[in-house]
Amino acid sequence: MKLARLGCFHRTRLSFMPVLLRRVEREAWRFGRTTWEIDAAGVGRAVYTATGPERSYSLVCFAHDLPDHLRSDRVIATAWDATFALFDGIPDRDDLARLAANVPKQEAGRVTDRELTLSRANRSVRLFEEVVSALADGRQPDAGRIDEVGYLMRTTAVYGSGKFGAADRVMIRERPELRGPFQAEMLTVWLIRAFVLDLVEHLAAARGGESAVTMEPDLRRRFGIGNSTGLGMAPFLMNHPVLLNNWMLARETALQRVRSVETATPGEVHAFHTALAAAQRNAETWHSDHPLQQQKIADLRTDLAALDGRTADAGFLDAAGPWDKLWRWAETALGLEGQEAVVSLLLDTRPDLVDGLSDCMDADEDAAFAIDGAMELDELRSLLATEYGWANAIDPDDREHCARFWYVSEEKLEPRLGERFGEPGAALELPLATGRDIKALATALDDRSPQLGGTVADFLLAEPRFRHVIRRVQVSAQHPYAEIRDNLVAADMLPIDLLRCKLSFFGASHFDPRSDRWVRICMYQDAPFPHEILAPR
Amino acid sequence: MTDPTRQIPSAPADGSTDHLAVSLSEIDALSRKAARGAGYEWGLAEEAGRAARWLAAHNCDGPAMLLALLREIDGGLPRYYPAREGAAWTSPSGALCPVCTGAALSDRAAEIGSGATIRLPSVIRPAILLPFAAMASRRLGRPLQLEIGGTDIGVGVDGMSGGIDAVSGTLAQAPVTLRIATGVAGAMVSAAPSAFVVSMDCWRGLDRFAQRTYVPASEQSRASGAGSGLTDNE
Repeated sequence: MKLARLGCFHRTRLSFMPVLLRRVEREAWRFGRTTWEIDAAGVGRAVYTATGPERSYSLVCFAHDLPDHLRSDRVIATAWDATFALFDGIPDRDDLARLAANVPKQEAGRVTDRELTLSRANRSVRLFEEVVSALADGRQPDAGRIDEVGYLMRTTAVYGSGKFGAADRVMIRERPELRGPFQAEMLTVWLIRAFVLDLVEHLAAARGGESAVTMEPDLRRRFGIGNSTGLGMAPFLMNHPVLLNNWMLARETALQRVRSVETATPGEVHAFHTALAAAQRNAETWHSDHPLQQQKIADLRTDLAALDGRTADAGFLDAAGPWDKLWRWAETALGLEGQEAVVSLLLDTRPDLVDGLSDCMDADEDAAFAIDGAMELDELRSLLATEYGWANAIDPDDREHCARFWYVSEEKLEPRLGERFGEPGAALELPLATGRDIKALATALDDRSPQLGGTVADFLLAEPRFRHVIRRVQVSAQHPYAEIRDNLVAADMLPIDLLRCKLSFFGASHFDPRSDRWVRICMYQDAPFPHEILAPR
Repeated sequence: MTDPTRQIPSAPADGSTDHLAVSLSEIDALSRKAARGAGYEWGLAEEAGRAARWLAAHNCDGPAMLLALLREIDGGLPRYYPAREGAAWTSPSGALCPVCTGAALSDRAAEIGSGATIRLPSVIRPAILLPFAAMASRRLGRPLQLEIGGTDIGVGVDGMSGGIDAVSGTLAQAPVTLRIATGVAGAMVSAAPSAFVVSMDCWRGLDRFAQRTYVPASEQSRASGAGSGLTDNE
């Protein structure tokens, strides 16, 4: 659970987007565009409805005319190219009127518990105009240019779980289709993708009239939806330790199951090689301007080539325990990016062993909240030693070890990372410096007179400042993957490692950091569109 | 609350309604931040957030109770902080904070489970103890019985029974006793998760406390603190 490895995670078949796509296919969901009221300038509204075995969900889309100087991906933006809400059912005229008055305002408006998500997206100025222009002229857009950018619009936030008045998770989690983590958000983004492609074709038709064409299906699928993620997402993994544990546990269990396989059938070996070829293509089309990421991509390409070479030898995977053998080789021969790519490949060989684990990735966070006050302090000391030994390396007197602090800015409540010794605000620090707090706890326990009461309850009554961190320690005792074992306020900590970990669980690809705390990604690239789900391939 | 185009409060600033439908998540988040702003350590602020959320989920005005509590103890929490003297619970002022005391009792669930009766001479906004009793009940797997200002209330895993209306809302301060329930509980009122309607005054009041936890923006923090550039025309 080190940031360096978490920051190299790739999507796997347990990621939430492929989980959604498998469900809609398995359950034969039906999709329809029930409203399209967009003018020739691309302004107006649209509604897409998705119907599963028991319920319908509708993405309500508002397209705006956004001046270039207002286009910003930051939380502090106040206007966007398009805004969206996922409605729980099929909206009537009153619902649409209410949404039209609120959704375009995003955080400054309100949604209700009839809405599951609230989101917004901005155009990729680079590519959007190029594609509209090409289609209007009767030409298909250039595949190379598509691969370079990967998307026409990018979401800059997808809010769910009760934010801004939307339905609480507790209201929807009994529904099979929404029980898995972030399924409402994944459905939202998938439908946004459909809207975006419809929008460019619409604008092309408006501009080019008779000579305009629609996009060829193969090219159309190459477009994903981009996403721009900054620090708003970063605290999530620390704030939801049980959930993080369950995601990691599912992943690690899947890997363990595949590694335990005794022999690989020719079909499974073939599946591996197919997945490897796709991974190599993905690495070829993966671009970034960030020097760190460029190095990682170069390393990945080298590693995948080495992997290809090693497994091209027919005998290599013919052995007993082939996948375990491959994993052990990868651990010594490949870098972290390559190793994590191998995780994804191995999981792809045995869907029968892996896919069911997606049902284990949600969490009952309430159950883990209460502190066990009866725990003896000696047991607490012991837990610190076994679970938090990594924190011993943190030196409270070393400024490099506490150089940063996490906080919430007054400006649109945007989470930010500050320089403790370079700017004001550290007194309002969020409790995300777990390593440092563990050290302080250990010191306080050492200083505590043995004559005082020996339980956590007694200790916390005297020292309430340790309640937050003791709760974390007790959660860790029951959940082995709950804690990221790195100093989250160190001078050299990379927030993008946190972002990549979470986004890989979403199913994102083509991570493109723009700084140490901002990353662009692509979602649903090469995935089918809703109207293609039941179509013959 | 300040200009909403520069800073988004937790509610629309146009003041067009007296009430606001909020989600349980929003109650939890704002209550946690408000408690922190009033002086609670983060670990106790989290308990306050959960407590307000639990109360709202059981159709009690947790946010309003919490706001009343915060206004009373603001800046002077140590005076209401519980101390143990043998079996007695005391505080410097004589009145106990229900969040701090509730957390302490939840930590001591085992003691309650072994038959002890907890007597609290005077608790501010005593209904706020109920979610903590619920946590203890969950740990013990048994319902608890509380007497708040003379009214009996049962708290179990399935919900609450008894005179909830009498103790929620306006009861500002009362003695409380707490023990394992004996006998049969009355009909339990379960949580009915749905949007909760708060008064705008209450929501703004909590927000004012929460504002104390936000760091004022500066040119520097806006440019480098968070992520992408200020315009994104790519």
